[in-house]
Amino acid sequence: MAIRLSKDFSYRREEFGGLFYNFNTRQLLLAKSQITVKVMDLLGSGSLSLGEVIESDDLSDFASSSIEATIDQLLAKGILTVTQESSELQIDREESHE
Amino acid sequence: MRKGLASPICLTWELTYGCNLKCVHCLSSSGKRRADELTTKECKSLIDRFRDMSIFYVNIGGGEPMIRRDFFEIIEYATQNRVGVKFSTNGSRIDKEAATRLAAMDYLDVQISIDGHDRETNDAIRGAGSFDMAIEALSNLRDANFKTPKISVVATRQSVEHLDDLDSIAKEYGAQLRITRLRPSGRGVDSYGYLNPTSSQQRTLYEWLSRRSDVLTGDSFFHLSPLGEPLDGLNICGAGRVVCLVDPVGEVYACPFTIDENFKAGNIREMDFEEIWGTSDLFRSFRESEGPTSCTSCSAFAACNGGCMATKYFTGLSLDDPDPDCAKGHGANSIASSATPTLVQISRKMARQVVTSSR
Repeated sequence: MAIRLSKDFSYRREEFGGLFYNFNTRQLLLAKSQITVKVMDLLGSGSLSLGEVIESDDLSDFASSSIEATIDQLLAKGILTVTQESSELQIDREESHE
Repeated sequence: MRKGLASPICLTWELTYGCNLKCVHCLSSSGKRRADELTTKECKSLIDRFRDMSIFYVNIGGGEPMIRRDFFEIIEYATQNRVGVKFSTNGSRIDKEAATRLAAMDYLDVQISIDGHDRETNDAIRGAGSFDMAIEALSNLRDANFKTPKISVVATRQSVEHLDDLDSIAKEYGAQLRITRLRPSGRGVDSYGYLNPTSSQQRTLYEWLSRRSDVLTGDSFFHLSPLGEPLDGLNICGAGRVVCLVDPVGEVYACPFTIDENFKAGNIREMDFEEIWGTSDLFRSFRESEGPTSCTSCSAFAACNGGCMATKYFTGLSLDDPDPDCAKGHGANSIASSATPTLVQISRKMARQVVTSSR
């Protein structure tokens, strides 16, 4: 299983952190915490497994429990979504297209 | 937000100056189409830029945007590219077929303009037959199961007295009420004097909005926040910071209410939109401003940050002056002393520099 930005949301970086926009509710949410911004930077427009996010060098300054709590919050708000495919499987599929 | 964002949160995009109505407060003085309006191809290319800049949505207006033959092609291209669309219309082109097509789209909001709770009040501002046209459009949208259209009302001396009636119309059609501030821009210059709510009505409006957080405002009444608890939304003019306007011929202005040479930042036919947004001297001057000099020492400065730039400019005030409708009453004093438009002069000089450097 992997996580990625939900299709209902758009995200972009800003100097103060980041901005989420919910296409369904038309709500704008500010991302001010460093962990959130780093998680979103890491995910970009793709998907990663929870383990890959936690073990990433980009997030090495943060405790695993803090990263997991942040991801849980983003999942609870519907900003992130869980995909059934693992990131590895997606890579395999892309390779099979080549 | 004072320092501005990497991209606008949203921007207003006037698709055409053509309109089948001639509202007395039209911000863009619309009527006739211009021959040099952006082509379909140019519109799509601009949407590509909006998508690349992660601009979340565009407020499409005009003129009457639906008179463009490529209207649906443009908005469908935008939403397919995850650029949300909110469009304002007088409703004249929303027949049953159009309503069904709109109802099938994602990421789309429709705002039907109504400027009075009844035919007489509305038509005095928007023209004969316009109330019935708007109601028919709302009816068609309801029949097509369009989810929550908006009824967009400009707060005027007449409409402020009937906010509950307007809300009842919205409820009847499953719509949400949106109320915005009248600006003395475009043809509004001539009607502002008799349409702008009185100071006592401004207070009534503030109190009504304070009770109704479900009513949309486009954050346009932050100048009233010093009257008590701040209203929801931005407490600062977003022009060139979080919003801007693209007009039908590709000119980029600071906001929808400043279609004027002094607030022009560039043209997308001459310069990339992202470059205009990021490097315009005019926009940079707004982002670097700490606020109007006459307001920074006011006890309510944090609540309103000096109010609306366009309203000051078109009432002949300096951008360093308080908002003409300043809740503390400071605007009236400035109008009486008719101050020199210092920042306007600076902006004018900057606008000229931008135009020169872009050629």
